[in-house]
Amino acid sequence: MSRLGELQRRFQRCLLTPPKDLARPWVSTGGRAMPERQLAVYVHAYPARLKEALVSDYPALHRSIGDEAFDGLAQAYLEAHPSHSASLRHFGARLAEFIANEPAYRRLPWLAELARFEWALGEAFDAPDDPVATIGDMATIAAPDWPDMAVAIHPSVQRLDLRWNTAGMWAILSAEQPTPVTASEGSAVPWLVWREQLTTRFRSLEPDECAAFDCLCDGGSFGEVCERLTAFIAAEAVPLRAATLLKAWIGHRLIGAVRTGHRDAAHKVTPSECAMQPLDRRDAGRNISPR
Amino acid sequence: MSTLLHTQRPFLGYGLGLRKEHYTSVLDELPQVDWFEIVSENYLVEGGKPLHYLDRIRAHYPMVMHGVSLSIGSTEALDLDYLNALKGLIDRVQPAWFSDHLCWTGVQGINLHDLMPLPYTEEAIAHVVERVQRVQDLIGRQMLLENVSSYVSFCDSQLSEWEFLREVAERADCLILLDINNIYVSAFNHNFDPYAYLEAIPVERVWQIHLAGHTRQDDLIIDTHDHAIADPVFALYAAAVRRYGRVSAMIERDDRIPPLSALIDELARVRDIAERQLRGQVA
Repeated sequence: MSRLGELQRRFQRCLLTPPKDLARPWVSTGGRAMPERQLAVYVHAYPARLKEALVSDYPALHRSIGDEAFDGLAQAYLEAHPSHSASLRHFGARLAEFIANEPAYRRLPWLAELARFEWALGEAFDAPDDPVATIGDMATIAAPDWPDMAVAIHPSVQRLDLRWNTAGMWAILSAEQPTPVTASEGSAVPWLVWREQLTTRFRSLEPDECAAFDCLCDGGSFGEVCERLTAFIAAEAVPLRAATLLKAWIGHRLIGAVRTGHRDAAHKVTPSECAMQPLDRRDAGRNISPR
Repeated sequence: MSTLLHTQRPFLGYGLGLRKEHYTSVLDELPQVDWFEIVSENYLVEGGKPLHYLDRIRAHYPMVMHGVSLSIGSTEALDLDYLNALKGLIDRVQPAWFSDHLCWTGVQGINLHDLMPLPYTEEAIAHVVERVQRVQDLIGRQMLLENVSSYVSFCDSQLSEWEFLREVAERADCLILLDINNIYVSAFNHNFDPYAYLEAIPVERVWQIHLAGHTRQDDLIIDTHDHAIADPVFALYAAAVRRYGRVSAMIERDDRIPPLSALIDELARVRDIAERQLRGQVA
């Protein structure tokens, strides 16, 4: 190995697993500060910077357990999953999985789910700006083509099943003046997280809507969606319910390209003018600071 | 040796680092800022707010791109995925130029997300020069390399920091983004004369200047970008203008970010200092 490579490995090792005594023979005594103090700047800055990235991506989780406990979580996570990406954007991707598998967090059984929810918000935040389908696009589809019609789900859409009152907790924890919040567990409820233009939103799904939406996500056709709905409602009510759901999904900008069985080419879709009341607004972006 | 002429250096004026806290102010007020610098990594995303504001602000202002992840000094292989993504962003933004730091950010597949200093050795020069040349070939244009603040000095170093920077720039035929605050910080931390540093850097290669605030501790200065520019850094900047002439200059602020108007006031001081030096030169 080159001398330069060896030095970089030694230096990096000091950051990843800091020794008690930071004095190192490869650090010059010529600087103003003592050699161990010189290295300490980097050794201390490393976990602090990565923790800051996690706080930025998980602000509600940070508030939920407080800074001191979050510090411990960030440190343990960093040791288990140092960043391998050019961007800090991806560093926190495995936090929910880490919390779920870490015995120390069993006493906070809702924590992994809150992490999963908050990460989904981030994923929706900067997902691709693919075009969305409009009601007008649907009007161009001939009646015989409807059963075979399939759609692409917009890439900002995240589907989660939440057992805790996670979305409610998140909303309270994200308020300017958070009030006390109690975690409560129930049976799993399906949720959607997505972005409408620049606003990240989330909402829960009714059981029949969830079955229909998941069917579309799996590549199912509109005909298959209708079939799925027969498990929930009478056959004669299915076409109206299916059309109502589809219209709502399009209005919420959840649907991307539409394709019918007879045509390979996707319909050209244009941004929808449909509006709805904001359910949530996530203004946080990510700034990566040069130093 | 350089094939560049001093007169080829474009002058963008006086700019600011674009930060998300100021997106709406910038678009609503279209302030008197000559140009913006973006941190490239903040826009290496697929959609949403970052790119939305980027495109709209770009429509009103010249931009340059400043990266933090190139890791040009690392002994790890160059990250071609990153470079391709960077090239895509360059195509989108059409910046006046792009830059990154003369540093390394990790080895063995790990990114420390810090600007780690290099030892000032012949070995490191050869290593960095070869990589800068490859990056410039791949991107298809010259890049600017920035001097970083450093807190550690290595026994291996055989050269001064300014000799190292100059050698890299000349041999790789790249340009220089001179961070005046970083020179000041490193000069304090390593006991060298910041004015000697300025004198050693070839005039024609300096295409951009960074200014920022720092935090003074007992035995070290840390480059924190969370304060206004300190007076001694302004003094060093004045000397830089006297030596290099009209160079595009900007303020970086990354923490405790004040309202846009405060940065514009600070930028007015930068402009005033530079223009006074330049008038003095003419007289």
